[in-house]
Amino acid sequence: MSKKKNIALIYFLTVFIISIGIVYNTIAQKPLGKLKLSFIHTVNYKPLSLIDSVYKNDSNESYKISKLKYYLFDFKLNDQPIYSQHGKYLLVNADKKENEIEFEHINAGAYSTVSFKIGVDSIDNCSGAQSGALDPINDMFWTWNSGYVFLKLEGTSPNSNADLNRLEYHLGGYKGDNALSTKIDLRCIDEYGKSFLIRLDSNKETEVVVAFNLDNFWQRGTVSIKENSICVSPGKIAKKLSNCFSTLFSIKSISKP
Amino acid sequence: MRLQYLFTAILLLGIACLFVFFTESNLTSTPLKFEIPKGWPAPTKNTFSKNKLTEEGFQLGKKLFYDGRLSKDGEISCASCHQQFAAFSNYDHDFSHGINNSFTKRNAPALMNLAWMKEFHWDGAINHIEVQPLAPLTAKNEMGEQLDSVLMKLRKDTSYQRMFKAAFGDTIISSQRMLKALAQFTGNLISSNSKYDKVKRGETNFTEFEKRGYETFKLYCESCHKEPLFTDNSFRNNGQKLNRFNDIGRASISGKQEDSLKFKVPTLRNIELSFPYMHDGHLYSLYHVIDFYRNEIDTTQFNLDPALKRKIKMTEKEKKELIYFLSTLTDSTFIKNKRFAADEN
Repeated sequence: MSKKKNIALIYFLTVFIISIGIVYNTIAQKPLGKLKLSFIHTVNYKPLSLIDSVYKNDSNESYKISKLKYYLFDFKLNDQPIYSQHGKYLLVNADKKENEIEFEHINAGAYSTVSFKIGVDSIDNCSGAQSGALDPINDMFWTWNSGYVFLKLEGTSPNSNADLNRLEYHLGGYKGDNALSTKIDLRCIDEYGKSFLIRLDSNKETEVVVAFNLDNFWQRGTVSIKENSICVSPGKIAKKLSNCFSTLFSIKSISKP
Repeated sequence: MRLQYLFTAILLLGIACLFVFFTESNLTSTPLKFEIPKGWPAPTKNTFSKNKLTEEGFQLGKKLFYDGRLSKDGEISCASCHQQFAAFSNYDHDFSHGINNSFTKRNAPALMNLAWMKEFHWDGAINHIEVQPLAPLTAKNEMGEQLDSVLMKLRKDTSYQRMFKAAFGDTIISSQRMLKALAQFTGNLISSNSKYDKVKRGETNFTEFEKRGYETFKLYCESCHKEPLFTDNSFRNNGQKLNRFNDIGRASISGKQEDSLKFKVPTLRNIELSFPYMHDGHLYSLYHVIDFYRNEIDTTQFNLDPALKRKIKMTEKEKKELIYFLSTLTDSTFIKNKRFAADEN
């Protein structure tokens, strides 16, 4: 008899504890908001076209772009890490209609900076076969010299000395002096120099549109197509070209929740 | 009272369901234990740290290793250039044949004891055993294929669907699974049963010649070809001249001048079978190799390995004895092991 009572007691206690847990979770939760980051690509103040549009860089060299892909990771708001179900990495591809990543369970409130890193964490460059955004099927992995291409920019230019006037920048590298992964801090400052805040409200999604400004790739004329038409391996040239990373992005707009 | 029984039954059923849910994926495959030969160091830490070894994974890796469909023309498999009877090197080939009658520019290395390596290829360009197959698979003068097209071919084959399920729990065929399975096969190619190993285990003895050859080995070769793996897996300039492909070795991936003409120290295990020798296979016999170290080292190179600055002074007699010793490193059970051979069907 007492044994059966014990079993019943254990059962009811279990149910009780689980119920308390559920109730606590729904009632006592902090207000949590959602953030969506969307990436758009611009050049000469217009949306980047990968079909036949001719652009000019700071050295007055004309070029066309056919491919732009890059990895982002380590997303933060006010230097606090934020997480996405999407995974650790976002592979942005300018050829895709939308490039966005959603973050949930962020404390509601006002934030003044968004940051992320461009590239792939060094550990993920040398831990074997990866999946998801890092799947080598995405054509962002150097098969002959292990490691990820962080940013791939391809096109043509009459100023290129390479075969078929090719432009090919496959920038990456995770070892020592050749490491290119760069933290990008985006302060919320509008075009008049006035700062503003990103507000996250409880149970609503705020969308921040981030622009990738291709004009800044050429580093105010210090990078010319004539001198650097091709860079497809880690090293000094890739390092020099990667100096643009910190200037490529800016906040374009914020949707009010 | 009956109600209590019912509640208990429901609770137990729930626990049982959870148990099945968490263990089911493990029930389908047979764990495979990685045996470290006695007296050997621990293998490289991350070789299998994210790759659970199973018999089914190993068998899948073997099937992939011997499958020509990994190449563009369907003819060239990993095993085309890594033949078991040649200790998984390319027998009697300085360079190997890729698709469209192309040639490689480096000698295909023998494959064994890879779990102890940190970097792969003659220049160490590959940083993990799992990503190595991507290099030959996509190289235009090797298998010339694209990863997505290989996966498409595999997905159409019901035997692969079955084997991926047996190895990984479901029929999803991804690049990650394919590469992990291949690593389970290649990482398990262990050669540790040569006459040398038997002598070390006290099962047999060297002949007089072999014993003197072993002394010669310890005197002149051991510093780079370290026992028991017979390599220290380092990269060194051993004084070869720049070849006709201007192959500068490790410098081509590091961009550092001090790495110029540095190549990986290969293992001497099964060395008799893996001729021709050096990164470009230009030395055809062990006699040529030893003569190279005695007479032909280019001592003018600025980063020549210090151990070779004065070449290797070895008598004719020592040379012959050394070759006797080197032949004790041939592991006949390794090259005849059916477990590593293609399935007959």
